[in-house]
Amino acid sequence: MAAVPTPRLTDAVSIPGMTGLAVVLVCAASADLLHVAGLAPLALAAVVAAFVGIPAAGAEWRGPSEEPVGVGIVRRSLAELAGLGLLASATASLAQPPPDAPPASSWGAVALALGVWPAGAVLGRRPWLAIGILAAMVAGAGIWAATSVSLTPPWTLLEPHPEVWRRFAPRAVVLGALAAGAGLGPLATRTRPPGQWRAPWATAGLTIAVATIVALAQGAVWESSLGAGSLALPAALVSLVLVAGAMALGAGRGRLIAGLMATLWLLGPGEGAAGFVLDTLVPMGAAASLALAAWGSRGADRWWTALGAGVLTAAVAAGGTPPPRAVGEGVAIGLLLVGAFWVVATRAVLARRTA
Amino acid sequence: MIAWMSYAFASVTLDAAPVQGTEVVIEVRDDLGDPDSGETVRVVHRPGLAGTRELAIGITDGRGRVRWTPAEGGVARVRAGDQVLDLRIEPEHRPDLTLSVLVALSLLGLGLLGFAVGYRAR
Repeated sequence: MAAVPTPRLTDAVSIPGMTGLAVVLVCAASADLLHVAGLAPLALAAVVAAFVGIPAAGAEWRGPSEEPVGVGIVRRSLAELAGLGLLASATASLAQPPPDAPPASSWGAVALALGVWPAGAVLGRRPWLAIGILAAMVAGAGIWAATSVSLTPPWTLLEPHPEVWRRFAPRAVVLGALAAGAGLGPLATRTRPPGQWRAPWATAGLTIAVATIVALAQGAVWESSLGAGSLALPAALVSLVLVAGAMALGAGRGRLIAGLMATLWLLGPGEGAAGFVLDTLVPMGAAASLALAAWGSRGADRWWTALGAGVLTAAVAAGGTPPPRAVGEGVAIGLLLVGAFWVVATRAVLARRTA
Repeated sequence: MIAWMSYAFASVTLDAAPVQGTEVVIEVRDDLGDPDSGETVRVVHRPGLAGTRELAIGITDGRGRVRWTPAEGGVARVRAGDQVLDLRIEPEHRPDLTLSVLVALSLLGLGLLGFAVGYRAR
């Protein structure tokens, strides 16, 4: 019987990285969803994560880690592009200052959004620092939530309202399916160490825990301000989460530049397209990646990855954000899709030539 | 300036912190600070959220007052004409459903994390 290699603690860098990607999504989505139906969307997302997201990510994780040609290259490229799009659109949407904010805070938000990428690139080479940041992030968020809740119980905002499920179900299902990093994490990380195949469990667990903490704190802020308070997350928490997400994409110069460019575009001329990228393009990219994983898998793994792809596709079809109607943003989205196709096709052709 | 001064006197006040199931008195004053009689007072529970509910409390008497026993806990908005008062009603009981969902989410999150960490520790 072959011995299972003992994983090193620094190998766990892939876990905070994947968690960063997933938590970014949770943070970007939970504030809106809490207003729609309280804790009901988060509960649905947790159930979907347990029964679809984790098995799909686990099946993907168990697959071969290095596939230098063919479908493997396309799969990896799609996962990277989906992760990049997720991080850029979430960064841009979280960095949007309120309309009445002073110019200084607007510039601060832009600097924070752009600083995420180099910070992630630096942390990609320092796994211990990344693990420390993740631990500090969770501990800080927990203390912040406990303090807020002890001051004002957050019951009004958190009251679950499942009867309005049509308004939140598609987005909550996407959130749950991606919470374990399915279609994004295992392939976006630089390495997949052996013996780490339960990383999706940790990713989903940490994501659900952090999302619950954030929801508690948001509920307390809303309650104490009698519904008038800002639900903006503290800049420190947002930046740490984003850095963890950026780290998952690795320290590659190409990704750094692409991430910076995408964030700049979504902060400026492409502002209206951020929702389309986050709610439609990212889940579809992850679904395509999972579908290709199903194509190359066998047995139960094939069914789990296919289920993940099917659930994501159905959720986007039921409630994805439609493409922007403005001509400029439509053209930019078209160019984005052409660029993505070019990246995937070029990599596949180059890999075939060198094989 | 004159408009600001006149609005400064208008108010909706309560004689005590509102608690679910306990009667309080709402007092409405007009722009001149006099009791506003004959004003319809309404309350919106959970303003701007799912499950929002608007109820009529009553019409103020000659002293600008109306009695109210809050039926729900949580954040609410009292309206009297153009005047608005946001307040928090202390719930009579802790909300069991919300607490149950919170506990379930916490257990699920920590359980998944513990399962992965436990595997790593073996």
